[in-house]
Amino acid sequence: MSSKVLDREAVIEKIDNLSKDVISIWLRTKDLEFEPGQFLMIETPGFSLRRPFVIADKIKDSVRIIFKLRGEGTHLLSMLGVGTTLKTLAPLGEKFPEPDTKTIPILVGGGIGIVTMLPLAKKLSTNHKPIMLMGADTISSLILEQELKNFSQVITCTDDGTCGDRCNVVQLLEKYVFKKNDKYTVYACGPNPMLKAIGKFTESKNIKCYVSLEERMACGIGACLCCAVKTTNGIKRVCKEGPVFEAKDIKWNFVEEEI
Amino acid sequence: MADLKIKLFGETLKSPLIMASGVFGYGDEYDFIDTNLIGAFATKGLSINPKEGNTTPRIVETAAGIINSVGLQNVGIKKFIEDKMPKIKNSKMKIIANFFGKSDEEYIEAAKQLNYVKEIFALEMNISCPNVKKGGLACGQDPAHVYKLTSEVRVSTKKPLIVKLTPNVTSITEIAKAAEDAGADAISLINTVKAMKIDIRTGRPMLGNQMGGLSGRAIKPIAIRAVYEVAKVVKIPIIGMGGIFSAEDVIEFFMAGSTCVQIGSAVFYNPDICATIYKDLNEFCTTNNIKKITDLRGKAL
Repeated sequence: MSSKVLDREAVIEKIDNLSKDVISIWLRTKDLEFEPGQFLMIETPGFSLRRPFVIADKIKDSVRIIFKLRGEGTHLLSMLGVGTTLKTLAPLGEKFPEPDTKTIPILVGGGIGIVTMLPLAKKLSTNHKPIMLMGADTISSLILEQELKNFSQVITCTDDGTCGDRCNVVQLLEKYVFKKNDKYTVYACGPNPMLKAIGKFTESKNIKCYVSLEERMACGIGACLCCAVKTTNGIKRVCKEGPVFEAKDIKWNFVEEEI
Repeated sequence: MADLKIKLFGETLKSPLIMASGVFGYGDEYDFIDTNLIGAFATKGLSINPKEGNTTPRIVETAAGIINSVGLQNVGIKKFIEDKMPKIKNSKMKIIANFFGKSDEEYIEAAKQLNYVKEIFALEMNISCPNVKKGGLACGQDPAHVYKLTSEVRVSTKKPLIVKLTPNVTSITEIAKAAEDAGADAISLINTVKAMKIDIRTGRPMLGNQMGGLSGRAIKPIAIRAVYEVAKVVKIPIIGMGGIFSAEDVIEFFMAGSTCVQIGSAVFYNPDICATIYKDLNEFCTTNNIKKITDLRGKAL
């Protein structure tokens, strides 16, 4: 069960580089329970907005965020010292639903989107045997492989073939699904074009698919309406009704290729 | 304890801090903060028909500020009254209904519909909308149009009417005067400053709508100047806003001529910003032997 949304103090415990531009931060905070798929908004001192990150893991009183260095905000966060206290609004958004009964969960992570699959793999591993399909441009960007192996059967791919099949995760998913004859529930996170392709493929195969979307946010709690996404049920807020949506509900033509 | 209460439209607000339109949704999202120290909140801008808003991205951060292009997405007045009002009508904060229209007729109709909602304390008319009929010219930029529209809306509702001004004009005093002459009960200013950011990696505008409105610390000096200028020419109360992040900012707005203030984008950084500011305001007033915050009003004029 998730705890109530609160603005909590979180103290940086540990900062690591997972690759040249991916940072992992452990934050010590009290009474923060979350479900896979939920995120937090963390203070970035000196800036006007907080930054949203999926909650990647939890051990005792510490939660973990993992992010790619993209702009000034993420660079600043990566340079803060251990012991720094940051206000953190959490837990936010909706969780990933349970897989349909008698289906095998396939988790698909592309690039930094792999992070979102870590807590889900961990949770599902107690009652299921999740398959984790993960891809990146090259081997050094393929993060969290060892950790995910603790909770799932990992299959990798890279654009340049330096690890696993030389293809993207959409092709990997197609190959996997075609090879076997089981029933699946697919969970995916990654760049929008990847999610769009996975959404199309799973819909054509009548496979239930949930995607976790990324969008620029300001409030994180559904008040400002900045993170809108068009769905078949009208405009939804990525921070509130999402970030997890059923892929078939998204109007992909209105989703930006890159944010 | 200094006296931080203010009077507006004959009623007492327990705090001079009002949540600005756009950052506080319909008042039911921030259920985890202390609303005791917030005098009122303005709803997300409402229109007769629901509006989908602009394509994303709708928000981008810039130096000391943010640019948004939400595009007035809202559920429409009917749904607001049916679905949202029941959730907020017992709020400890007074409710200000912010509204806009695509045409003068829509503004008037919106004011009429909101007039029937008992729990609404006041109406705030957003005349910074760039999509009104009149020859492509934003209605809030033409004093004659502001006068006509305000007069017509004024007689369409019994609620106190606040006119919210855009800073994107040559002479804000002329617009303010036109609103006052037409019967506005208060002026609120400033709305966001038209702005833009380009992504130098792609060479394309960052926002889906290309342009948006700048808010945050960056616009405070512009807002102070505008409040100061307007305070010199109107007698009705001024609700100042633009980049307020601290008690010191609030003091500055009071000194420029504000009766109370609105807090906008600061709430994104600190959801409990009003509690912080309220506490600091009290401390500032106590330290400086100011008994009532209203004593500071217009000190710089």
